Amino acid sequence: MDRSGAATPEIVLATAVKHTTTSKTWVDGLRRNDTSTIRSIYDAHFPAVRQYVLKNSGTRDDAKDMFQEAMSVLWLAVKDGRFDTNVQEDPGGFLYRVARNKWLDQVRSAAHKHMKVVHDERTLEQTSELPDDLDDRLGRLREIYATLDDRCRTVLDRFYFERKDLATIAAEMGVEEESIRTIKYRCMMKLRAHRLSIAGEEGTAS
Amino acid sequence: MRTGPLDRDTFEAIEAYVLGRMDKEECRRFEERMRHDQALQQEVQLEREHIHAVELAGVVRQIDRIAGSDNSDEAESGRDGVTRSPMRWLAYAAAVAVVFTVAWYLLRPPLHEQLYAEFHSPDPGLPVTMGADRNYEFQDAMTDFKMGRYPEAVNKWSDLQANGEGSDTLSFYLGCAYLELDEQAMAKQAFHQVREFPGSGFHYKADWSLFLITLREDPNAVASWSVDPASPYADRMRTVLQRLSE
Repeated sequence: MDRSGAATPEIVLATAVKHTTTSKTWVDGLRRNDTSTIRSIYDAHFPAVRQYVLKNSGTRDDAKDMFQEAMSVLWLAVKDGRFDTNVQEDPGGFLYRVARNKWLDQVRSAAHKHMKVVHDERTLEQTSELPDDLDDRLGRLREIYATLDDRCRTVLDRFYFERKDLATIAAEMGVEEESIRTIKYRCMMKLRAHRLSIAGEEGTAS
Repeated sequence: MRTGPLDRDTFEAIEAYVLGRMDKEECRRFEERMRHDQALQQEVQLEREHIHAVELAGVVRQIDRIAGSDNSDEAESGRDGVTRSPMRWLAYAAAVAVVFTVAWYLLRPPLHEQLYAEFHSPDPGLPVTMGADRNYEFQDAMTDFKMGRYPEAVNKWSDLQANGEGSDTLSFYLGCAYLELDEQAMAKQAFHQVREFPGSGFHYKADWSLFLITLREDPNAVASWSVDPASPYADRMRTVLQRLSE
């Protein structure tokens, strides 16, 4: 219970946990970028994050941003194989702690110094599962994607995220399958060249 | 890492490895090759990162879409079929009516939920007088409340309460805002706070709200509710209890 006797987010979380499927299912689903898995995780665990952010001077949009950040971290941890499904039965606790810590970082920033944080003691906990470099890596991944032009995004999104095959993408875009294969290769080589040039500049600078 | 171009075959082999599309034997041979080729290891790491960049953008888009879907439902529902013939429309309407009737019969909410829906109506709020006095923040939140911007109202009133400016009026309307957000536990807590103000003009209203929340949460608990005969809501409470017991 918090100071006012209301149900704590942990209790809310415990309720949310009941709605999710088994850990193997959601971990596999996230590995495959499965939309229904992402939706079921959102449906089950967003309310707890929203409640925490609203109680701590945030808005619904803030809560959505924090949840999105936490989901990105969870997704990357799963992709890295860092998420031990035998120990952590459900992603709810992980998501909640990451979102909460990120919101606290924001609240503590200069723009939000006047805000009041309700759950002081629990909020001092660290997210032990969260490797230090994950934020940097997420930032880098976003920068990489930002360098792609629209045509590259269209093809790469469908192939790597939606996991469509070349023939399907070709049919959707009204071109030959070989053209899609070539576009994909060229786009990925542009990314590679961009990264190599950055690495070269850093090497020269040091 | 190789600084020259990467041929398409090697690129696609790495891609198949990263996406898990190699069979066991191919995978074993590829990993064996990697063990002796550091440049290949680095190429694999780089390509994996690029694929992750694309996938992450997709995940974020998905979450955005899901988060925004509440607002888009209405727009989606109005788009369909303006060019269809009236007869077709009638057939669709009849089919939809049948489906809805059956679905309603099978999925109709339990009695206590029906009673809650019947007896609960959002509080209209207080008249707003926007002056430059110390009540400005309260009035500003009241405007949000009356406009249905409940999260904003909750934030502003919670801030006022946290700054020691609590009152029975504030607690009551904070409870009402939480109730409209479907956050029953927080609403209950706020309505209980109203009871801590002796002689509050919101006492019976808060009591009625607590009655409705209890009805929704646990109809067995509300059955033993002690109805205050002096309450202007006493008749409504008795009606609910009567219908629950039938």
